[in-house]
Amino acid sequence: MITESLQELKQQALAAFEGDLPALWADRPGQWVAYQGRQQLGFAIHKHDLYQECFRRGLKQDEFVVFCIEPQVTEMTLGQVVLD
Amino acid sequence: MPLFIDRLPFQCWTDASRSPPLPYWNVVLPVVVSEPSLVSAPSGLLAQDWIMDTGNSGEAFAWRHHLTLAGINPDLGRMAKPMTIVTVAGKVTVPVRDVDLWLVSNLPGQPQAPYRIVLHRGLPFYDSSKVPDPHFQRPLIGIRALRSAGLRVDIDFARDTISVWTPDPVGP
Repeated sequence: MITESLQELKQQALAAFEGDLPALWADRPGQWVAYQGRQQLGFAIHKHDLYQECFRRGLKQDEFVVFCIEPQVTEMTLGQVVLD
Repeated sequence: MPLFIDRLPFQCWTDASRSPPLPYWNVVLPVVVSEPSLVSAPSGLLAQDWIMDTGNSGEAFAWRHHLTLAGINPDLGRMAKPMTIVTVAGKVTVPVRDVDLWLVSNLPGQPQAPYRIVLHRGLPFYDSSKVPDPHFQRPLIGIRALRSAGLRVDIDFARDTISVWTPDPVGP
């Protein structure tokens, strides 16, 4: 798959996950969920198990996205660190 | 809880350009970075010194260089959503690479397997080709990652050491 379509798949996965998150958080808090595009692939207790399951289905690393079912951190404070 | 890191000395370096020379200390943990899909602990990989940063509101942070050094391709396995980093200089948005961290024991004798620290949101990294400053731009492990790993940590400022205990193994 070309880079643009992989990126598009990831953005679709993110949108689907963000839409599903309230219900997932109610049902499966702390578990992991995988998406390929908008398609939900499955759940696991451990992140590495879900990766292995996706690999078993023949998917490559950049063809799916794994999310933790929890409130999403979008900003991080590093205080005194100078990045560049 | 079993002891995993026993009185590891703080890292100390001295800025000799200052007069008189100025010492700095960092509380560091030996950490291996791996792909998030590993079923068991990696072996033979280079442990890097990660600064324990309880002021870091996220899980962890590094520079592109630290991923490359660990043999991780920073351009693959990126999370769908970037992370906004807030520093004294302002806000910047950086990519996030999904990885796991592994804490490495310093106990002598029978070597213990590294202890997995799962990053829930992956590793945000500063995506620059420049080699980061070896003293001021170090990889950071933050309070969310330490909490989710369930570690017990003892920082001894009288002896400048850190000790770490891992959670009791879960029974069958």
